[in-house]
Amino acid sequence: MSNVLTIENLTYRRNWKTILTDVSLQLPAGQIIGLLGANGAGKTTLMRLIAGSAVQFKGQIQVDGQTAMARRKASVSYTGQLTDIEPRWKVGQIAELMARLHPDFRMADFLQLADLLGLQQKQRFNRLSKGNQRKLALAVTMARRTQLYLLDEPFDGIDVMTRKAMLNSIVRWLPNAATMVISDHHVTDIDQLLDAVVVIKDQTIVAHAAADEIREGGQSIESYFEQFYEGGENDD
Amino acid sequence: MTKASKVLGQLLGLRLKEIAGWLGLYVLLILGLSAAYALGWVDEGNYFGLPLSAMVFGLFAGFVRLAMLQEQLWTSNWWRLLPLPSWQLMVIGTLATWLTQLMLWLGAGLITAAWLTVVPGGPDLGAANIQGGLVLVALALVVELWFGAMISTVHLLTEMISDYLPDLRQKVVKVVLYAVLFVGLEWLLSGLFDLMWRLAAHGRHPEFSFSFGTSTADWGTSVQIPAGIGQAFLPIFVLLGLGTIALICLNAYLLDHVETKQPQQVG
Repeated sequence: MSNVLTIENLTYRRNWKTILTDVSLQLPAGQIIGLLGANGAGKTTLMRLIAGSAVQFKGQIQVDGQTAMARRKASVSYTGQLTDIEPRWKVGQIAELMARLHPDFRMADFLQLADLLGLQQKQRFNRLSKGNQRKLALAVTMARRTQLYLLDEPFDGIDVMTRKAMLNSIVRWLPNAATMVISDHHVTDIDQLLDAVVVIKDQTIVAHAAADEIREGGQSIESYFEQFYEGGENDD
Repeated sequence: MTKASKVLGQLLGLRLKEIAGWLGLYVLLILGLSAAYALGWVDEGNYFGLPLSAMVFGLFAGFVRLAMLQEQLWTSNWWRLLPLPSWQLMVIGTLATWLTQLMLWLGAGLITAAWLTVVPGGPDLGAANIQGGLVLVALALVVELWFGAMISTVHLLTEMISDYLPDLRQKVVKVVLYAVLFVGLEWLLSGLFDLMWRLAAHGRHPEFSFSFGTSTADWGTSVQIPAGIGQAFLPIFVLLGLGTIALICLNAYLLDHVETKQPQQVG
């Protein structure tokens, strides 16, 4: 199975502070990977580096065999895409712009997803609740047909029933050969979805294990993750 | 249609509202002044001069607003995550600012020409003045292209330098850095222009020296622009053009290597 993401010796520093150090990771195609870590561990930073919105790093990041930034961006769909978007844009307008600017964006898929998640096309972005903004980010992300999907805490601030609907959307809309990296503090919600788990702690990756092996060992994903923090303080 | 041209088209489309707003204000000003003139509240000099000076001020204010929109491209994930090389995004962003400004100039110029054609007793729109006016407009547009690129250079250099500093009072540090870098680059431009004036002082291009009226009323009654001004300004066009290209190249490099900000989570 070929690797869709290869990271080698990645180090990232800002303002005299090391945020990630010597991170190496290989993710195969066709898997859903849980990226777990405490607040401030570096999960969002790692996703930003992979997606291409963070650029000052040492090491190498390859997505689908490509290191060039523009080619990496074409292969990655990231829920952080809507950060700093024009707040007056409407939901439908955002989708139209995505369709024009990203050749792999499927408008029919977006409309179905938006309908499923209860999004109104004529609503302005700044009028959406936090939860609806997250739903829009998910719909926009999943409507693209790419190799790698990065979902950064997509369920933050979402109620339980909507979370279930979003999880079903992810399972239904994710292409078979695509890889998804999802970070979420509600580990039990995504437990059954995961094929593998990556744990970030102390500015680096401390574990990368297959979910089935964890379960066969009699552990839940959550308890597996918690063992890395037992006996110490969270890195906030 | 290439991806880059689609993005440029999108940026220009999004700025159409800005253009319409500014031009709408200008039309309202002319209509208001015309009414005031008809009622005898405004004399002839100010009636013709105020719109012209308002146009210049409005175009400057429009440029400032467009520069702010331009800089948002480098800090917004929406634009930075487009699958385009950084140099293309930089060229597109700078070009979108300039083309929008060009549309503003054209729009304001057409509105002004139409108004002056309809209203009797306006300033002399002789061939010489029109030619001179067009050269000055071209100069203004080239200067704005330079400033558009320079503003991005200062912004990106500020981010780059502040990233190597401790995370203390970053906002204050960035404001200071921005001001210092802006003044520094502006000093460089002034030095280049000073060189051109020195050439003029040696009698090679006497057309560099000319004068406008000092008041709005002067603008309204007569403005004499010397002949041959286009040729006289050619070296400045070339200098600014080359300088702008150099800055855009630098900006493209910086965009690939500089963190612009830590984006907030959606929602």
